[in-house]
Amino acid sequence: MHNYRVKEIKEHVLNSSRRNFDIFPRSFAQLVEPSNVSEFKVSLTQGNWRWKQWGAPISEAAPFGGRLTAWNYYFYKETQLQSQWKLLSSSLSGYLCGSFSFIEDQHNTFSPSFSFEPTGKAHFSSEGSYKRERVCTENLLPLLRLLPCRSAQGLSSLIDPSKLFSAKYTSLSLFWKRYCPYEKSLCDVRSGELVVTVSYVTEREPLSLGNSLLHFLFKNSFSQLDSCALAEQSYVSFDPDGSGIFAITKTIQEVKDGLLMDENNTFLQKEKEKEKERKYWLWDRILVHLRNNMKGNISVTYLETLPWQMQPFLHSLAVTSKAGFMKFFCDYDYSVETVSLFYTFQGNRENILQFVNYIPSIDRNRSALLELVCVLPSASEVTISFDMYTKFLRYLEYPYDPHRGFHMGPAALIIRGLPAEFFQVTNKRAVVMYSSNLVVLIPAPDFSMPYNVVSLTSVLLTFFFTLLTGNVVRMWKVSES
Amino acid sequence: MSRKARLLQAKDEPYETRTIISMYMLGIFIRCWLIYSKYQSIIGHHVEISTPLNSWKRVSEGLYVQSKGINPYEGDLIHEAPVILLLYRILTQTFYLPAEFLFLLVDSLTAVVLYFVAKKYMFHLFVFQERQKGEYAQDSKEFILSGADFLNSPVFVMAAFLFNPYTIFNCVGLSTTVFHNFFLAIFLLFMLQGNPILAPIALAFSAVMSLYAGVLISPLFLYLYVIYKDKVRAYIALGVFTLTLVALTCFSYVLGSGSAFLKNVYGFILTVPDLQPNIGLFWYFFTEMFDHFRELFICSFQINATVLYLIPLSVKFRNDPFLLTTAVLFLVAIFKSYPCLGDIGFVMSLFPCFMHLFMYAQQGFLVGVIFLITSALGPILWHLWIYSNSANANFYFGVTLAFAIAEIFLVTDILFAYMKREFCLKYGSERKIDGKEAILMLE
Repeated sequence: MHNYRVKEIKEHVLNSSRRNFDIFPRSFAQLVEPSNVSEFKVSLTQGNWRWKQWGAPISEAAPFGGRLTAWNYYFYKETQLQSQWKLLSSSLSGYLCGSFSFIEDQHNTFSPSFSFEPTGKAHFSSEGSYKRERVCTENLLPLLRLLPCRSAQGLSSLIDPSKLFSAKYTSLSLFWKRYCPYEKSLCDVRSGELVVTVSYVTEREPLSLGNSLLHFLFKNSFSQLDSCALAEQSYVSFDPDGSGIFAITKTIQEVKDGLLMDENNTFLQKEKEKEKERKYWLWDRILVHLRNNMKGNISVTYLETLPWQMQPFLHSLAVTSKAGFMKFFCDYDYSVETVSLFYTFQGNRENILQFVNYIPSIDRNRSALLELVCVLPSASEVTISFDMYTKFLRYLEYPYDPHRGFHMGPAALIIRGLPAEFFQVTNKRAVVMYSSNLVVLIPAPDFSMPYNVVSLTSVLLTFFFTLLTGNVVRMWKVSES
Repeated sequence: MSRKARLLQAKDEPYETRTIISMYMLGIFIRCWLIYSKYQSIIGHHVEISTPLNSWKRVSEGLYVQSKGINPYEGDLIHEAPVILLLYRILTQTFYLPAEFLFLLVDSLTAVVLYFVAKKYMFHLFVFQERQKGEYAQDSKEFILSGADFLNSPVFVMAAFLFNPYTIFNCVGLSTTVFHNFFLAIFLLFMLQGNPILAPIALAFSAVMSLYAGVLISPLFLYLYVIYKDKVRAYIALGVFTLTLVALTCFSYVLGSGSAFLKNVYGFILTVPDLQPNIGLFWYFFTEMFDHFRELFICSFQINATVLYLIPLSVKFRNDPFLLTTAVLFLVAIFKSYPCLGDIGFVMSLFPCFMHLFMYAQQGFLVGVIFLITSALGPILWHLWIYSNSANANFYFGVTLAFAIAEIFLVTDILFAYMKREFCLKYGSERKIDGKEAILMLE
């Protein structure tokens, strides 16, 4: 079965210090400047990137739901950071029609220590996610309006929303980075780079190359398109089944600019599933399977953030491995990065677990953070498992459809130490994979009963009071019948 | 001798030591068998037995996290007092005692202590009865206790503790109420012996574990004041209790956790943030209640559980402080914020001390049947709600309410029986005014 993959649809728009708001969207600059972040990435995703079937993604795979990550290059005080985060999340919420304002408080925000490096230098990072977020055209349109030609010309006219949102994996993301020409200099507040990424995966029957295929993938065939006049570069690179790389500007041409990996080169058949084994009703055991198909050991960081409604039990954490039969692809050396932190301790369960960073959750205040640095032995399957206890909530704290369940959020697996050839596309140093999103059933009370419960319990208490004081306080008296 | 006479005679003899020992061994064997079987985890995960306060899983999590250098009271997982956590750490890590063996040991010790508690109380009853014999009416001889009653009650108390399914499950489910019951039993022993130093110390340990045991200072004071007629000892007991409490709190500060434990342990008991279902009344009430009224109802529930009935009952039953202790313990077990079956089982095993009151209790059958039905129905409806997703929380709440009604009936019945017996002892069983039949009424 052939998978035709559109590798990249990308437009680079640079805003230099000349403040050329004729190209760069002014509204976006007005959004970014007050909050003063150095770098941020916001993504809205539906579906999970299946590494096993689709190989490595072109842009970074994003986790399910809405996620916002922000980095600061300079030191800010705690209160300043919180107000900055609040401002950023609420303005993005309005700008992209997404519910990012839900993540502005501490419940869903966390600062991981080992994971998520930015492209530039960073001092502080914070990340928040809203797990129940759904992606729809309401989110797509503001994104596309950021492009200089908007929906009329250029690449944004290629995207067909109906095909986009019926895909197996849809991700819209926005990445903003301040322009720092030199390493040591202060970054220019008013200039930066904005990258708008739209990724989606559809799998269909093989079609012949030509206009019919393009018609299927895009809204119109290319003969009907105009490239955006304002863009410096506007190209679509197309890779039908690894047999060559084509670039489409106006006509189909073969282009040899090496861009990305095609199927023969996929190195990672690392599959991560997160499944839940329901053991004793309120106690769930989370199992995460990591399969390493490569010949050497790989050092990974597993990052799990659990909402405060679900509490992990650290003493039940178990990391076990099972050797399997997998194909080898690459051979390389690895280097384990060790960072020592507060609440980090060394584990020695079969020498797989190296460091654990655990920040316990506080009820109604803070999520739990669990970061494990593991070394996956070659050609083996490692299972990370821990017990989790789901709490009972108050009346108003249940989500909107409580019988559907509670989103646990995807966990992240960060792989470092891979050779540079894997990172031609993004200039980050790590590959981030996300697990599937788990929906945990939290048993809900009957929501129609507040007055009934209060009155029944009060009746019981009054009944007891009467019985006791009626019999105990009074004195005996013999009277005539 | 006829068969009936032989049976009556057999009841008047005390039980032999051999019988008592074999009964004790059987009780321990049942616990041993269950705790090492595959049913242990099923029992231990039932919410009636393990609450957030007394779950051993949380204690082991706290010990593990503490050994890694993380403050166990930073999150919201551990709700045991630092002193008690230290005790568990010493027992499990310094002495390397496995948890099951530890629980078996403490539970068996509690049974032995309860035997001696009941024996001492029976002795006190005998002395009191001898002293008061002159005031009793002529025809009340059938109500007075005889020798065999005094000797057999302790055996029944121990049997009630060993074979009560609530206490068995409490021990097998590895809930730390076993330790709480042990401290309470020690307290009862020293209270009955009139020891003004050791009784308050034991009470302070129970109070540190669960705040509600502190209300037992009132029967302790009454016991020393009224039964032992020693005012000095009573005030010494009060002083020692407060001193020990203060010392234990300071020691908890010093143990390195700072003041975070106050919010996690005592704040947790008082403000009830975790709404895990249990056999009490708090959980569903506070689940379904709007946040606006939360403080009001927390205060009223906590007052109801502790001090509201303490003062009237103390005044009324000042002549029998042990009955007062049992009644107050039972009330606390019903109305506390996170009750469990172990609390109920412990108090129920004290009831054979009051065998002389059973004749006057009218609702024994009703109470017994309700206990049986709710104990069987509770886990079934829980399974239906959580696992099968077919019933909902109201069913389990209804069972909880019925269970509370049974307990209420039991307590009020026993107290009322005491009052009836007092009246009959004083005025006899005949009630006549000018030769005509009269009714006894309360006024």
